[in-house]
Amino acid sequence: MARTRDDYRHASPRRINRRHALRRLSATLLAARTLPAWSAAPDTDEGRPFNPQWLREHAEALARHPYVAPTPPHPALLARIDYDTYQAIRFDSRHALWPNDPARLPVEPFHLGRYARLPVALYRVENGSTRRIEYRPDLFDYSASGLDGPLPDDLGFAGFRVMNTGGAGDWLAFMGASYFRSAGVLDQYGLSARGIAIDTAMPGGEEFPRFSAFWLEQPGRDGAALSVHALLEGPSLTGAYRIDCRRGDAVTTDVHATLFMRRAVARLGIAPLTSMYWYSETNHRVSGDWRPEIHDSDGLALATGAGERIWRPLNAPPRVQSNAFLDRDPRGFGLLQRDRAFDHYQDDGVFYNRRPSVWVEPLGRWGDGAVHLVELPTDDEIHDNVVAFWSPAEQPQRAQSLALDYRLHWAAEEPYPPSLARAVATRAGRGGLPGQQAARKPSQRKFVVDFTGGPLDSLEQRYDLTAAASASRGVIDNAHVLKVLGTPRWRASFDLDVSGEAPVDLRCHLRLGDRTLSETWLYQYLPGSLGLDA
Amino acid sequence: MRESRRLRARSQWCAPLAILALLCAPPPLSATDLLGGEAESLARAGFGFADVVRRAEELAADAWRPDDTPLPDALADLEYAAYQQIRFRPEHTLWRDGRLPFRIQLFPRGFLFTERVDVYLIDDEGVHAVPFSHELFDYGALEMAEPLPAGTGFAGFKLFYPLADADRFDEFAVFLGASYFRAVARGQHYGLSARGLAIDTALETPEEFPRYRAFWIRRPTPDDTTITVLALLDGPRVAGAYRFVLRPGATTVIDVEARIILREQVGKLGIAPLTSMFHHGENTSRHVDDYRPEAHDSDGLVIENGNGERIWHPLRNPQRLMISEFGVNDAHGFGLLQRDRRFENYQDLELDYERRPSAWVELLDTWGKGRIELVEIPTPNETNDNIVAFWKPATAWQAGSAHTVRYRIHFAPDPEASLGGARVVATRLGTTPGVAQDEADGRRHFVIDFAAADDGAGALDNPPQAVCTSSSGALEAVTVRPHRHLAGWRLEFDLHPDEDTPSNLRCFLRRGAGDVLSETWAYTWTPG
Repeated sequence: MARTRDDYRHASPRRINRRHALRRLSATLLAARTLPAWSAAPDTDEGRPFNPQWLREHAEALARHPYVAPTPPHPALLARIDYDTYQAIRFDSRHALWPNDPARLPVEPFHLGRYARLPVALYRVENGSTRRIEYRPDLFDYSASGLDGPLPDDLGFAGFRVMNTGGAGDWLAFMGASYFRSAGVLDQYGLSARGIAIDTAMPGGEEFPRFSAFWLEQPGRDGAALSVHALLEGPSLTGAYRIDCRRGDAVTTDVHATLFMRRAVARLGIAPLTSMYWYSETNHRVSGDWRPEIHDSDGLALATGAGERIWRPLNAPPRVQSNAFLDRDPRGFGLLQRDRAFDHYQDDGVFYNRRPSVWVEPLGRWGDGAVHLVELPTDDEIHDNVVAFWSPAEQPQRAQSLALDYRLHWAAEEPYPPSLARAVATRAGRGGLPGQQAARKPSQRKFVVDFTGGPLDSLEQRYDLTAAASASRGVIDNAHVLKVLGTPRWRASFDLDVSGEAPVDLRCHLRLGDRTLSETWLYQYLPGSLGLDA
Repeated sequence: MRESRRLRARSQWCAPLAILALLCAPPPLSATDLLGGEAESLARAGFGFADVVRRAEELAADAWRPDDTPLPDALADLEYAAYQQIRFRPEHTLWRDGRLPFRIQLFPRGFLFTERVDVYLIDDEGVHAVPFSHELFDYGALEMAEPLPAGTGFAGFKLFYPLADADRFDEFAVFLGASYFRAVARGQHYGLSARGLAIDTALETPEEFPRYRAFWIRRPTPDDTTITVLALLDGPRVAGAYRFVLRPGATTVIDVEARIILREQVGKLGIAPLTSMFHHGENTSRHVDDYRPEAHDSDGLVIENGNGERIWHPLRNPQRLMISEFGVNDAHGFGLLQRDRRFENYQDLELDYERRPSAWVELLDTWGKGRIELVEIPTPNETNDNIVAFWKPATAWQAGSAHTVRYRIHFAPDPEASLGGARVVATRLGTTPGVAQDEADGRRHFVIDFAAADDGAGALDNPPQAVCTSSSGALEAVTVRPHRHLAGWRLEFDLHPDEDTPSNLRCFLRRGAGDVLSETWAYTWTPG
């Protein structure tokens, strides 16, 4: 699940240059570190009307046969296309698909390289007819790349990106395994989605199925601007995907897919999201970096089938942590970037404050299962280390098929905010009170959680709100709730006294009498994971 | 420095922690005035600063004698919590008849403040000692076997004025402990302190803390907006007379005139000293296990030199004692400022660091050549004062010499608002992004945000040139960019330090050779 991210930039001198490069290539998803080998893309007949039913049947037929891993073409050449060389190769935008059609969005293919070695087949679908887009060296400008000599005609593409109308910048990209992502309404790429996740954080190792062929249809189906049809192939399954992409006041990608299992898997991850969380106000200053916070997402939000709203701030744990939140018919979940204050990030090159939140909205009932949250250790911002997905209680068996229907919102704010107050900041540090060192216990930690919105909006400062705080182990003390005067925030704070290294699950929500005022804040405190005072 | 740091503890505790707020808030009013005609009259009409100067000269002519007023057993060895049990009874507040714009309450002796301070009031009839009486205080849970004797005396006093509402008296200044005093402007909470004099601060020899042994407070008229306090300073090697004219308001201004007489030569004489606290801030790159992003009373030292140059030195909580000196000539002033006024950056609901005053010391008259010294002391917590700044003469003042200095301290949210040029509003540093630790070779990445002066706002998109120097090591990749979230610019560079050699860094912004746009940012990076 870890992959190298493109949007990392080095120190300031290079930053300026990198930013220009990023403008051209901001959607580049450099592929996984160790991709399995893959089967070749299927053939479809040039000019034949495209039909999703055909794609489903094709995927189903493929699933009856063993998986054939593809072989990367021209390995010596691709090995030479390292990060800097890759940045120097420019697509000639005159050759974009739908380049000058005001009613269509231009599409530009991605080049292959050292980190994106497997070609995908690209087709354009319009007015019912299909046309394959073939790689040609003259689609790209290699003059600044240092690559000499003619490039082979059969190189292929790594994926594609969808440009803004007029061709300036892109807002949607597919590249590497089954990854795709959108810059969302704030026009800044951040976390990614995948078509499927298989055996994430399981002992046997994760499998990365891949979109091996895309059929791009404009206008899209059901009123979408663009429909991306894709064939998914992996050792354990195949799949036929239709992803309807809409962009207006909101950016949504509706996924309609049918999976065909070649074999049983240990854990199928549906609607997976992949993000990065290094540090924030919760675990600030673990890094030595000058920036106050670095993350693409700051929490997992859950809207359970029973109607409970939960906010779980993310961790960058010292060891892999897997958590499952059991549910039935979830209404949605998402990895969100609730903190939108530039001041909290201070990075005016990669703008963590503008990175999208992604909310997964099931279309239909998903039954029993769990939202899984996997958090990996990290010490940089260039690797994704957070995964969230839905996994059904009953894992699909060999030869089974499975239909998926859900909508991804690439948003600034969660599309269905809770009517209750939301947790908007989580801080933690040594417990006790400033100035009372003698009374401080090393085993005590202070948690400070700010809530805002909903029923809190109408409240003036008062002293009878309570923090319903509980811990899976340890003792909670000094809990109290106050309005942060001059702001719309209410602050719950408490000390947790706990010893030992085992994780502690904390819960807290605000109450007034027996009335619940806020969503439920859930946090996994990992004793010893935060440094102590020098 | 031990004394000053301990004093700091008191100031912290008197900060508005919810439960302690009562102890520091102006109390309700009732009953009779303390003076009530009983006051002892010294019948010396026309008593003034010259009289205090004369007393200082008399003191200086003799060898120093420590105060020998015994501390009653009941007040000896009081810990802070016990000391806090003793509260001035508000009904005895001086001038609480409601006609005068100022009121006074007194501090008991005890805790760190064991020495007796005489307090007098001056009015048209003469000078009146404020008599001590056991009944002036409520002793709370303390067991007082017998009343405190009449000669016990006080430790200091605090002043009240209707800072915000005409009918509510707010505390705005305190004189308590050695030569410490501090003040707030409207809407602020106590933070840093001033002192009358600093002697041998951060030398090998112990610091000396001269103390005010007597105060004379002039009774104001009902229309007065200022109050005058005279003070007699005494210490082993100095004596002095001080006049303070305090004007509380949106900025609380204290005009200070001091006549300082040296009994003996001192190692280091600090004039107009300020004392503050810096525990951690945005320039703290080591991990601090605290939920609050920053905790400090001040975030930088500012100096306005006589030639117009302005220096900004962000404060640090260093690993080792740091002393920085800035040569000045006819300096206009210096100050310890709290430029960062955003709650978001402190997150402390009780200590209100964003509301603590900045103090700007405006040097009146012409002070000639001297140095501004900044002392930064490592502190493990925020209850210690660990920052000291003062002016010191270029040539040491000799034993037996007497000197008059006049300066004006502005306690305010932004006492430098009228100063021109771009200001540094944030200093951040850390590892160099994108460089692996094993390749970094000690490099530090600095990010300095300048807010443009109002008159420079039109040219934000055209970044000025940065002039950066380092006394050692190499500066790499110096860039200046427009700062979209600030009307100003962001300066970044990497410092590649020499092994073990501190780097004195300076940066300012300019356009062309003669057009300096900003103050000068000054900082010292010490490897390791």
